[in-house]
Amino acid sequence: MGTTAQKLQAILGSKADIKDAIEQKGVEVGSTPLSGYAQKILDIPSGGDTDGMNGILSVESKTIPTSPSQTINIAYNPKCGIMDENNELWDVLDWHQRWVDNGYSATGLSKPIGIWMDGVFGRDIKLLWPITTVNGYYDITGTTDGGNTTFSHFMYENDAINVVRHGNAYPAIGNIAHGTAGKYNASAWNTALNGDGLDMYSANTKETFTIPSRDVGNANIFVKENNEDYMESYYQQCEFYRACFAICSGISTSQANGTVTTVEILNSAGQQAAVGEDMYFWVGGSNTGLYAKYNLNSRLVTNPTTAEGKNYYLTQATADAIYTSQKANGVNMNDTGVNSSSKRTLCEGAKGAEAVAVDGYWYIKTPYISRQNGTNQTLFYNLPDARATYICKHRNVSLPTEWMLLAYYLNKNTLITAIVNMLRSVELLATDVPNIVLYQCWSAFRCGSSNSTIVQMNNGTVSQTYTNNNYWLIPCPLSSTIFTKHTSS
Amino acid sequence: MKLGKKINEEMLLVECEHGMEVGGKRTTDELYADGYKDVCEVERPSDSAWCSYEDYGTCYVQVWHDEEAEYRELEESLQ
Repeated sequence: MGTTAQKLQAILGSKADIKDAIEQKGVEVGSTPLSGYAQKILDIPSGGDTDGMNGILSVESKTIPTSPSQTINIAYNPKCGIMDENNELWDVLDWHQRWVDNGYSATGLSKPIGIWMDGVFGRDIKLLWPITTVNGYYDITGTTDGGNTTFSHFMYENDAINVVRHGNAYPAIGNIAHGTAGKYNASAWNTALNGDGLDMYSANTKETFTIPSRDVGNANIFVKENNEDYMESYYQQCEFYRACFAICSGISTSQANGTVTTVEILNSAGQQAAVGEDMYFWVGGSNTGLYAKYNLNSRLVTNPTTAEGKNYYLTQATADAIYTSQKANGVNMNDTGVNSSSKRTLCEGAKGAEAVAVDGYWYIKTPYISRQNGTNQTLFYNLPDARATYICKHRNVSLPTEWMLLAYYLNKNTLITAIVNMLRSVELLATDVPNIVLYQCWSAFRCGSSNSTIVQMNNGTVSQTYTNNNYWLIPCPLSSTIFTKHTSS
Repeated sequence: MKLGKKINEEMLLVECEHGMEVGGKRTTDELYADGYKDVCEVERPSDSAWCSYEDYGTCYVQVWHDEEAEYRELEESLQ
């Protein structure tokens, strides 16, 4: 090794390295002699902050003023706080102190939009308030009120499109006549790789719909974390189906392919149809002569020569029956009927009928109808599009993972109730802050063509159920959202 | 704010403000020394029938229960 001096120098170097390493672990060494380094190493704390690793954050009590003369105790943890509309993450006590300093008033202060929790299951979790749409919705015929707090998840009985495939779909097969009202431009469709994602191409409207990831197949509970990929795949698949089954309006256009225009639903004279009166699709001020019925579909079969391939999914008989009911109830698929203002068939963010330019003609897309079952129109059969999908897309949010929902469940009775109660009852923000959810909530993931995953907030049960069932939505902000921790001055 | 103490599963609640028992003579320090803990209370939801006080070590947390929902759960679990 070298001279004694060199050996001593090497030892001194190692001593300095060890000292640095110990101090990086948060233990001050200072002038402690080498003989004391072993104890310093033993002083290094082990494990780190484990509060919340099992899903449950610890609780301590904090006293907050509710008025100049009264106080209450609230359950508190510095790892669980409030998100505001400026994307700031607030400690609960800082948030409330701001309210106190504002004269025990929320006037002029930023609004709360949800809850954040750090370290729960080792994850930093953000959940927005449960979704309550301003206007509720009815079933497709305008008969039964669906309320405004629970929603279907995704199309029923439709597998994910996440591999390279191609095919031809009924009813376009045998009904191709570009430019003729009620006919199709093409029956072919295909999917192609696009990096990690997939392009879905409809030859009918010549449109391409892209999903960012192909990792969106049927998911077992707790396994997947890419909730945003799934939500985007649902939306793009809905849009792709609308394109595949779009029918020609017979109305010509000089607009470029892909241009979208509105479709009106009016009587033969171009006025709002009365209850019981026939309704037609109008495009660009012209009556197409087509009744305002949902486009037929075959759920996108791939082999038209099989018995299954020749089966329609939404049949003419069902489309006719839905139309008859809509006429009788004074509603339509665009929510422009005489009774539509109080009986909406579209959820927030859903599109109704619209037209797209394809090689010189307008093609009419309608909501995609899944869960075809003969003429059964009760209990939200014949599901238009996918409500949770379109609402979340409209609000630019995602549905969460099961872990996120379990974090809500496990801390619901303590920290989350404390925050919600403080905001609603003390700070009088009940119109901005919905109450705690005690029922089933959708996660982002589907586990089969007909099933998606729910977390039951009453008892923490995680299970799978039909996608057409109506359950609560507790969304989360997109991961691209930038949040900043609020620092108290 | 409230302090509470469980005796034989019954919760004794004491209202306190400014360090003193409201309408009484004990200080909050005396109450803490006597085994009382902070009670984190929340407003009763409209569909709740009763509440319990869960012990979290340093405090109790008030939890309201929807009686009907719990009967439904029990029914479903027995099917």
